[in-house]
Amino acid sequence: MAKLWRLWLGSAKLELSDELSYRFNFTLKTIMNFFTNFFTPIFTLLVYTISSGLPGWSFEEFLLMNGIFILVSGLGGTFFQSMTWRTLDDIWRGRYDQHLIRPVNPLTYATLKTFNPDGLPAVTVGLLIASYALIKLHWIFSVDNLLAFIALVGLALLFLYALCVITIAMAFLFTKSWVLINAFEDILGIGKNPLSIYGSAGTFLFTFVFPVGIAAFYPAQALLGRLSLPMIGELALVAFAFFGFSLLMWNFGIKKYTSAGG
Amino acid sequence: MAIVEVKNLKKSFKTYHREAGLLEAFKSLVARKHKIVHALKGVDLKVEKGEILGLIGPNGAGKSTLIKVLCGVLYPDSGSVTSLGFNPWEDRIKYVQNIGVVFGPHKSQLTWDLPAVDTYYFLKELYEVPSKEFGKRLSYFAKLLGVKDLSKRPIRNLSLGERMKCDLIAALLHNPKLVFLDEPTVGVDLISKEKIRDFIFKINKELKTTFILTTHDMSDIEKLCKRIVVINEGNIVYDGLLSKLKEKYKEKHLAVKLAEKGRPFKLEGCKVLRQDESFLNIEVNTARQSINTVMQNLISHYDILDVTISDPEIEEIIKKIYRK
Amino acid sequence: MIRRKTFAYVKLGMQKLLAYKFEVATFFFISILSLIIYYYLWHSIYSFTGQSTINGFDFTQLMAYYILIFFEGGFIWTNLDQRISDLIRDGTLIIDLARPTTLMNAYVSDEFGADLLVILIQGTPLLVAGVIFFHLSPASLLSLVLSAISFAVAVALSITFVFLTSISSFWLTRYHAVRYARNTITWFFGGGIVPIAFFPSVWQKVFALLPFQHFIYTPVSIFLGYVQGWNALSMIGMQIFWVIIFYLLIKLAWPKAMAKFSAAGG
Repeated sequence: MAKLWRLWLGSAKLELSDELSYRFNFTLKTIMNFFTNFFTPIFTLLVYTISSGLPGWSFEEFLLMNGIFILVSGLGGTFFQSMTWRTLDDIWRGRYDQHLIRPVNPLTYATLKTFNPDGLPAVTVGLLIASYALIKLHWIFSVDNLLAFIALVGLALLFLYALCVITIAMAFLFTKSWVLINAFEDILGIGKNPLSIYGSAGTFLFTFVFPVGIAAFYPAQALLGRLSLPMIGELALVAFAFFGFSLLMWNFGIKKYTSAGG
Repeated sequence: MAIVEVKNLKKSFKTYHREAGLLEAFKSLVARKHKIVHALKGVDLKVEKGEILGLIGPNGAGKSTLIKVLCGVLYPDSGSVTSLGFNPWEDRIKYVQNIGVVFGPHKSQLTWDLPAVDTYYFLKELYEVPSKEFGKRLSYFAKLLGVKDLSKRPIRNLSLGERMKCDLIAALLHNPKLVFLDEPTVGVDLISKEKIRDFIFKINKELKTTFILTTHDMSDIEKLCKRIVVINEGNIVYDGLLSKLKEKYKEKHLAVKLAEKGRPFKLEGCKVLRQDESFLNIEVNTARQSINTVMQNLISHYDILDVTISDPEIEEIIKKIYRK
Repeated sequence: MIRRKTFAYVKLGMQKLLAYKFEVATFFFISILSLIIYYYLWHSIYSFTGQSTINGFDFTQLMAYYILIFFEGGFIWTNLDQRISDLIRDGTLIIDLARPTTLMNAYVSDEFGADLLVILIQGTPLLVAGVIFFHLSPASLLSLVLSAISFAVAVALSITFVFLTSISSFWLTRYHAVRYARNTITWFFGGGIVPIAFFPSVWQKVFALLPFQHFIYTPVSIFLGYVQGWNALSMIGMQIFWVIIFYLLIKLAWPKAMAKFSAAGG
């Protein structure tokens, strides 16, 4: 365990110095990432300016959801999301074998190597927006709600990670899949909105089958104190099941790769 | 003592292919034509501890497939492999701790925008190399290869030769017992080639590291390998000492420079490779004809300016083996 | 000559379609997905808000708008700039190209022609769905003609802009962020998220000064009749203006990029 931590730290340092070796690049990227994250809240603002918005969701509540979504995406982006395109890049350039000659599980190896500071602006923006929304909501601090929220964010990250793993597994199984990465980001977009808009069938689908609601909807509910403990348990089960499924797909994919030689 | 034993290794791939043209493209939507390629057709091989083995073969012969199986990156259809006491693909994670691989000049394992040293430290953690050993080995290897400035220059600013040297060091930092080198000198400048060969030779002698080297460069083979294995179309067609191989093919090459064109050269056991006004190149099968007779024939019938007698190029020998 | 080139594009487009069928299918999937999300979201908003029109759009009109946006906007997702960026990064780019137009011709024209065809093909089901479910239709014959012209200019605009952004690869290590920003910004300022008419009028004035709405929004609004007659023509004029600007920027930036490329040793 300690070895993994040291490895992660070592590779994060490598990543960071790699990024910082181009200061202009890094500054530009950070600024761009910072601003593009505001597009979602701007959309929300527009919607609530020209209409009554969504039933059951005030402007501030929807904004909170936005902030949480951005925060979760940012955390995912910082800690593991870039492993998707990097692994895919290695596979297509015929360099994936390097992952296989390391004395660690290749999934672990890929995960360790992907600290990416590009996600940090999103984390900042997400926190800013969520905090602003909470203040406007005159949110009352409650330890229970906060803990529930943290748990849900953990589940959200688990879900995101599983999505990354599935995308990589698909790259093993099908050859060309650049667009998969774009598709990945878009699928997540389902979870940007309150699940109620998808009707009861949609809500069920996105809670228990493809739990993208965990990305922002349920954490927001948790923070607002609208999530019961049994519900949290159910969501945890679903998230872990989804994660387990992604690992199965991964194993299947890598078996095919090591049989077909890539 | 054999540290690698390969028995009856078989591996086939399904490849999808499609002819060119729009009609074929449409057809392939419905049903893809596939072909089975037999990359390895029952390969037996033993690698002794401490040797430098040369693996030669034309492209598509099964070389890289064999190497991949030996690295544990690919698993075969049938047959067995024992390497360093492990089954490479089943005990992969434990096995790879003891091997080093250089994948070839364009698949460097070093981070492109950073100096090699940064990647070395990462590898140190990955392979759990003790700090003292790490420092010693790093400076020793760097000295042998003549790469200073490891701490300052990003990989992308290095020449191909320097990059290859850095990759070599990366592969050896964790003191592996077995190292695979895929085309380590291709595209590299002559001086670096020399240094790389000397390095491999020295490490092999001092640390008793076993090397398996795939290459198309015959001087690599000449200078490093005592034993070579030639693989062609999924089968081993020669496995033995380089010296024996040369003996087996007893052709000598005579390169004769003429003052003027002579009559067409014809003699038993001789093959004319080239004949014009200035040159006469003959390949003599010394099993059937003696050099003495050839020389006498030449002197009596031709106006000779210069004669060079040499052993055949390894390439010629190998080509002959391929054709068998 | 034109006929032969067109046929070449068509053929290349078909080959691309078949070779990259997986990517084409995935992109199609993404478009449908986004449209479905918008459908549910706006349906909810419209029901809740009680009024049938918002800023001049009723629900069906809004959906027709989105369908058109996705149809026209397909070429923003082109991988061309990623490919160029990879070539630059690998150093395999041919460096003795003194003029960017040579590179443009080599890589851009054919690829883009093929991209266009692919988009037209996969966009047709979208259009059909739009016609059936959302009464998608041009405001008039004139609108149809003008929007087709506007669309053609928009394609040229997109080509130049994409090429321009890919030049940034000479200075930046990984192109991803630029590409992502380019997509997001173009989409946002181009009316991809909401019609520009939904923005407060102050913002609309700012948007009018930027080139992005001319990538997608302009052809779409001409088609749907929001801009008519002389206004439409002046919009097309603006599009052409921006094409020229980008082209000049390319000409400006290119020598600097070449200098950087050779200085870095390729």
